[in-house]
Amino acid sequence: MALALDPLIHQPVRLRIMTVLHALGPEQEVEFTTLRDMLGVTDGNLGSHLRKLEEAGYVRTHKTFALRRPRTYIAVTGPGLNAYQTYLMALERLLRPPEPRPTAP
Amino acid sequence: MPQDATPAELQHRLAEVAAWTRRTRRHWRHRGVAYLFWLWGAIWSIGYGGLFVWGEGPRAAWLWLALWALGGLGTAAVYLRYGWRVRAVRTDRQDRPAFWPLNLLFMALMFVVRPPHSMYRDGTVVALWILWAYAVLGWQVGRPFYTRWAVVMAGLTVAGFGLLPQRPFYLWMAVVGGLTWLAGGVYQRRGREA
Repeated sequence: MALALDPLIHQPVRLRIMTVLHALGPEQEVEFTTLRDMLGVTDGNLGSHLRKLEEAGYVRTHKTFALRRPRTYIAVTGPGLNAYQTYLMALERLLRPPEPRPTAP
Repeated sequence: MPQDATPAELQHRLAEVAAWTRRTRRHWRHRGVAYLFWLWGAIWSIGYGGLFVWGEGPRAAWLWLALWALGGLGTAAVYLRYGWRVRAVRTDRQDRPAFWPLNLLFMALMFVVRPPHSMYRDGTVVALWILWAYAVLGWQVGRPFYTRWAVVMAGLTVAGFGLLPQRPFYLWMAVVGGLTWLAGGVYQRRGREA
Protein backbone atom coordinates (compact mmCIF):
# COMPACT_ATOMS: atom_id res chain seq x y z
CA MET A 1 0.00 0.00 0.00
CA ALA A 2 1.42 3.40 -0.95
CA LEU A 3 1.58 5.85 1.94
CA ALA A 4 1.24 9.53 1.07
CA LEU A 5 3.12 12.27 2.92
CA ASP A 6 0.69 14.39 4.92
CA PRO A 7 1.21 17.94 3.53
CA LEU A 8 0.12 19.45 6.83
CA ILE A 9 2.99 17.77 8.69
CA HIS A 10 5.51 17.95 5.83
CA GLN A 11 5.92 21.74 6.15
CA PRO A 12 9.31 22.23 7.96
CA VAL A 13 8.12 24.25 10.98
CA ARG A 14 5.07 22.06 11.52
CA LEU A 15 7.24 18.95 11.24
CA ARG A 16 9.49 20.35 13.99
CA ILE A 17 6.47 21.20 16.14
CA MET A 18 5.07 17.69 15.74
CA THR A 19 8.49 16.13 16.38
CA VAL A 20 8.96 18.08 19.62
CA LEU A 21 5.43 17.25 20.82
CA HIS A 22 5.86 13.60 19.83
CA ALA A 23 9.18 13.43 21.73
CA LEU A 24 7.49 14.91 24.81
CA GLY A 25 4.62 12.44 24.50
CA PRO A 26 0.89 13.00 24.84
CA GLU A 27 1.15 13.08 28.62
CA GLN A 28 3.27 16.25 28.57
CA GLU A 29 2.56 19.76 27.37
CA VAL A 30 4.93 22.56 26.46
CA GLU A 31 4.47 26.25 27.10
CA PHE A 32 4.04 28.48 24.02
CA THR A 33 7.07 30.79 24.49
CA THR A 34 9.30 27.81 25.33
CA LEU A 35 8.28 26.09 22.10
CA ARG A 36 8.80 29.36 20.22
CA ASP A 37 12.34 29.72 21.60
CA MET A 38 13.16 26.08 20.93
CA LEU A 39 12.13 26.40 17.30
CA GLY A 40 13.51 29.92 16.79
CA VAL A 41 10.32 31.30 15.23
CA THR A 42 8.18 34.36 15.92
CA ASP A 43 4.98 34.40 17.98
CA GLY A 44 2.87 34.99 14.87
CA ASN A 45 4.57 32.29 12.86
CA LEU A 46 4.19 29.69 15.60
CA GLY A 47 0.61 30.78 16.26
CA SER A 48 -0.42 30.35 12.63
CA HIS A 49 1.17 26.89 12.35
CA LEU A 50 -0.41 25.79 15.61
CA ARG A 51 -3.80 26.99 14.40
CA LYS A 52 -3.54 24.77 11.33
CA LEU A 53 -2.48 21.78 13.39
CA GLU A 54 -5.24 22.44 15.90
CA GLU A 55 -7.86 22.72 13.15
CA ALA A 56 -6.75 19.31 11.90
CA GLY A 57 -7.08 17.94 15.45
CA TYR A 58 -3.36 17.12 15.68
CA VAL A 59 -2.61 19.32 18.68
CA ARG A 60 -4.61 20.89 21.44
CA THR A 61 -3.88 24.09 23.31
CA HIS A 62 -5.16 25.37 26.57
CA LYS A 63 -4.69 28.56 28.51
CA THR A 64 -3.91 28.54 32.20
CA PHE A 65 -1.80 30.30 34.83
CA ALA A 66 1.74 29.33 35.86
CA LEU A 67 3.89 31.41 38.21
CA ARG A 68 0.96 33.87 38.29
CA ARG A 69 1.13 34.60 34.58
CA PRO A 70 -1.25 33.53 31.83
CA ARG A 71 0.34 30.79 29.76
CA THR A 72 -0.69 28.72 26.79
CA TYR A 73 0.24 25.05 26.80
CA ILE A 74 0.35 22.79 23.76
CA ALA A 75 0.18 19.00 23.59
CA VAL A 76 -0.15 16.45 20.83
CA THR A 77 -3.46 14.57 20.52
CA GLY A 78 -4.05 10.87 19.78
CA PRO A 79 -4.98 11.55 16.11
CA GLY A 80 -1.92 13.83 15.91
CA LEU A 81 0.35 11.03 17.10
CA ASN A 82 -1.16 8.62 14.58
CA ALA A 83 -0.78 11.13 11.75
CA TYR A 84 2.84 11.83 12.71
CA GLN A 85 3.72 8.14 12.87
CA THR A 86 2.04 7.55 9.52
CA TYR A 87 4.03 10.46 8.08
CA LEU A 88 7.31 8.96 9.34
CA MET A 89 6.42 5.55 7.92
CA ALA A 90 5.67 7.15 4.56
CA LEU A 91 8.95 9.06 4.68
CA GLU A 92 10.95 5.92 5.40
CA ARG A 93 9.06 3.98 2.74
CA LEU A 94 9.85 6.64 0.12
CA LEU A 95 13.53 6.59 1.02
CA ARG A 96 13.83 2.81 0.93
CA PRO A 97 15.52 1.60 -2.27
CA PRO A 98 13.01 -0.11 -4.57
CA GLU A 99 12.95 -3.88 -4.26
CA PRO A 100 14.16 -5.69 -7.38
CA ARG A 101 11.30 -7.09 -9.42
CA PRO A 102 11.34 -10.85 -9.81
CA THR A 103 12.28 -11.75 -13.36
CA ALA A 104 10.23 -14.23 -15.29
CA PRO A 105 11.96 -17.61 -15.77
CA MET B 1 3.59 19.12 -2.97
CA PRO B 2 5.33 16.67 -0.62
CA GLN B 3 5.04 13.87 -3.18
CA ASP B 4 7.33 15.85 -5.52
CA ALA B 5 10.08 16.19 -2.91
CA THR B 6 13.49 14.90 -3.93
CA PRO B 7 15.18 12.06 -2.00
CA ALA B 8 17.70 14.60 -0.66
CA GLU B 9 14.85 16.71 0.76
CA LEU B 10 13.22 13.66 2.31
CA GLN B 11 16.54 12.56 3.78
CA HIS B 12 16.94 16.04 5.26
CA ARG B 13 13.47 15.85 6.83
CA LEU B 14 14.29 12.47 8.38
CA ALA B 15 17.60 13.77 9.76
CA GLU B 16 15.75 16.78 11.22
CA VAL B 17 13.24 14.50 12.90
CA ALA B 18 16.06 12.49 14.51
CA ALA B 19 17.91 15.64 15.65
CA TRP B 20 14.82 17.33 17.12
CA THR B 21 13.72 14.15 18.86
CA ARG B 22 17.15 13.76 20.46
CA ARG B 23 17.30 17.43 21.48
CA THR B 24 13.82 17.45 22.98
CA ARG B 25 14.39 14.25 24.96
CA ARG B 26 17.74 15.40 26.28
CA HIS B 27 16.78 18.93 27.28
CA TRP B 28 13.05 19.01 27.91
CA ARG B 29 11.34 15.66 28.28
CA HIS B 30 12.65 15.11 31.82
CA ARG B 31 11.38 18.59 32.82
CA GLY B 32 14.45 19.19 34.97
CA VAL B 33 13.71 16.16 37.16
CA ALA B 34 17.04 14.62 36.07
CA TYR B 35 18.84 17.61 37.63
CA LEU B 36 16.84 17.20 40.84
CA PHE B 37 17.90 13.55 41.01
CA TRP B 38 21.55 14.58 40.62
CA LEU B 39 21.22 17.36 43.18
CA TRP B 40 19.57 15.14 45.78
CA GLY B 41 21.90 12.25 44.94
CA ALA B 42 24.86 14.49 45.76
CA ILE B 43 23.14 15.67 48.97
CA TRP B 44 22.37 12.07 49.94
CA SER B 45 26.00 11.01 49.37
CA ILE B 46 27.55 13.99 51.15
CA GLY B 47 25.10 13.82 54.08
CA TYR B 48 25.53 10.11 54.71
CA GLY B 49 29.24 10.45 53.96
CA GLY B 50 29.42 13.02 56.79
CA LEU B 51 27.66 10.60 59.13
CA PHE B 52 30.09 7.83 58.17
CA VAL B 53 33.15 10.01 58.71
CA TRP B 54 32.08 11.98 61.81
CA GLY B 55 29.45 9.72 63.34
CA GLU B 56 26.30 11.12 64.90
CA GLY B 57 26.66 14.50 66.52
CA PRO B 58 26.26 18.23 65.99
CA ARG B 59 28.69 18.36 63.07
CA ALA B 60 26.74 15.84 61.00
CA ALA B 61 23.44 17.43 62.04
CA TRP B 62 24.60 20.88 60.87
CA LEU B 63 25.86 19.37 57.65
CA TRP B 64 22.42 17.87 57.00
CA LEU B 65 20.68 21.16 57.78
CA ALA B 66 22.95 23.03 55.37
CA LEU B 67 22.39 20.37 52.70
CA TRP B 68 18.61 20.53 53.13
CA ALA B 69 18.70 24.31 52.73
CA LEU B 70 20.87 23.96 49.63
CA GLY B 71 18.55 21.28 48.27
CA GLY B 72 15.51 23.52 48.82
CA LEU B 73 17.13 26.40 46.97
CA GLY B 74 18.32 24.14 44.17
CA THR B 75 14.89 22.56 43.79
CA ALA B 76 13.27 25.99 43.57
CA ALA B 77 15.84 27.07 40.96
CA VAL B 78 15.20 23.98 38.83
CA TYR B 79 11.44 24.54 39.04
CA LEU B 80 11.80 28.19 37.97
CA ARG B 81 14.00 27.13 35.05
CA TYR B 82 12.09 24.06 33.88
CA GLY B 83 8.99 23.28 35.93
CA TRP B 84 6.52 25.56 34.19
CA ARG B 85 7.92 25.22 30.66
CA VAL B 86 7.17 21.57 30.08
CA ARG B 87 4.83 19.80 32.44
CA ALA B 88 2.64 16.78 32.85
CA VAL B 89 -0.81 17.34 31.35
CA ARG B 90 -2.41 16.24 34.59
CA THR B 91 -0.50 18.78 36.76
CA ASP B 92 -3.08 21.46 36.04
CA ARG B 93 -4.88 20.47 39.20
CA GLN B 94 -4.71 23.03 41.97
CA ASP B 95 -3.75 20.49 44.65
CA ARG B 96 -0.54 19.32 42.91
CA PRO B 97 1.88 22.03 44.12
CA ALA B 98 0.81 21.30 47.69
CA PHE B 99 2.13 17.73 47.57
CA TRP B 100 5.69 18.25 48.85
CA PRO B 101 4.91 21.03 51.40
CA LEU B 102 2.15 18.86 52.85
CA ASN B 103 4.42 15.86 52.95
CA LEU B 104 7.09 17.83 54.80
CA LEU B 105 4.48 19.30 57.16
CA PHE B 106 3.30 15.82 58.13
CA MET B 107 6.89 14.72 58.64
CA ALA B 108 7.49 17.74 60.90
CA LEU B 109 4.27 17.00 62.85
CA MET B 110 5.44 13.44 63.36
CA PHE B 111 8.64 14.74 64.95
CA VAL B 112 6.67 17.16 67.16
CA VAL B 113 4.74 14.21 68.56
CA ARG B 114 7.81 12.03 68.83
CA PRO B 115 11.06 14.03 68.81
CA PRO B 116 13.99 12.32 67.08
CA HIS B 117 16.18 10.22 69.39
CA SER B 118 18.54 8.46 67.07
CA MET B 119 19.80 9.84 63.79
CA TYR B 120 20.36 6.27 62.70
CA ARG B 121 16.79 5.06 63.21
CA ASP B 122 14.85 8.30 62.67
CA GLY B 123 17.02 9.27 59.70
CA THR B 124 16.13 5.99 58.05
CA VAL B 125 12.45 6.63 58.73
CA VAL B 126 12.79 10.05 57.01
CA ALA B 127 14.56 8.47 54.03
CA LEU B 128 11.79 5.86 53.69
CA TRP B 129 9.16 8.62 54.07
CA ILE B 130 10.69 10.56 51.17
CA LEU B 131 10.86 7.40 49.04
CA TRP B 132 7.24 6.64 49.86
CA ALA B 133 6.36 10.16 48.68
CA TYR B 134 8.16 9.52 45.38
CA ALA B 135 6.36 6.21 44.95
CA VAL B 136 2.97 7.87 45.51
CA LEU B 137 3.86 10.80 43.29
CA GLY B 138 4.86 8.46 40.45
CA TRP B 139 1.51 6.77 40.69
CA GLN B 140 -0.36 10.06 40.92
CA VAL B 141 1.22 11.81 37.94
CA GLY B 142 1.47 8.72 35.74
CA ARG B 143 5.28 8.40 35.96
CA PRO B 144 5.93 4.72 36.74
CA PHE B 145 9.68 5.37 36.80
CA TYR B 146 9.40 7.32 40.08
CA THR B 147 7.49 4.47 41.69
CA ARG B 148 9.88 1.78 40.45
CA TRP B 149 12.93 3.83 41.43
CA ALA B 150 11.51 4.55 44.91
CA VAL B 151 10.77 0.86 45.48
CA VAL B 152 14.37 -0.07 44.52
CA MET B 153 15.78 2.67 46.77
CA ALA B 154 13.54 1.63 49.66
CA GLY B 155 14.63 -2.00 49.20
CA LEU B 156 18.32 -1.00 49.27
CA THR B 157 17.74 1.21 52.33
CA VAL B 158 15.95 -1.52 54.28
CA ALA B 159 18.53 -4.13 53.22
CA GLY B 160 21.40 -1.94 54.42
CA PHE B 161 19.56 -1.12 57.65
CA GLY B 162 18.85 -4.77 58.37
CA LEU B 163 22.18 -6.27 57.38
CA LEU B 164 24.83 -3.71 58.28
CA PRO B 165 26.03 -2.14 61.54
CA GLN B 166 25.43 1.58 62.01
CA ARG B 167 28.61 3.15 60.51
CA PRO B 168 28.88 0.84 57.48
CA PHE B 169 25.16 1.50 56.90
CA TYR B 170 25.95 5.21 56.47
CA LEU B 171 28.64 4.33 53.93
CA TRP B 172 26.14 2.07 52.15
CA MET B 173 23.63 4.91 51.98
CA ALA B 174 26.27 7.39 50.79
CA VAL B 175 27.62 5.17 48.02
CA VAL B 176 24.80 2.83 46.95
CA GLY B 177 21.96 5.25 47.71
CA GLY B 178 23.76 8.23 46.17
CA LEU B 179 24.65 6.29 43.03
CA THR B 180 21.05 5.10 42.64
CA TRP B 181 19.90 8.75 42.69
CA LEU B 182 22.54 9.72 40.14
CA ALA B 183 21.69 6.74 37.93
CA GLY B 184 18.01 7.77 38.06
CA GLY B 185 18.99 11.21 36.77
CA VAL B 186 21.13 9.78 33.97
CA TYR B 187 18.29 7.46 32.94
CA GLN B 188 15.92 10.39 32.63
CA ARG B 189 18.44 12.66 30.92
CA ARG B 190 18.79 10.04 28.19
CA GLY B 191 15.11 10.49 27.53
CA ARG B 192 14.11 6.98 28.50
CA GLU B 193 11.44 8.28 30.82
CA ALA B 194 10.82 11.38 32.90
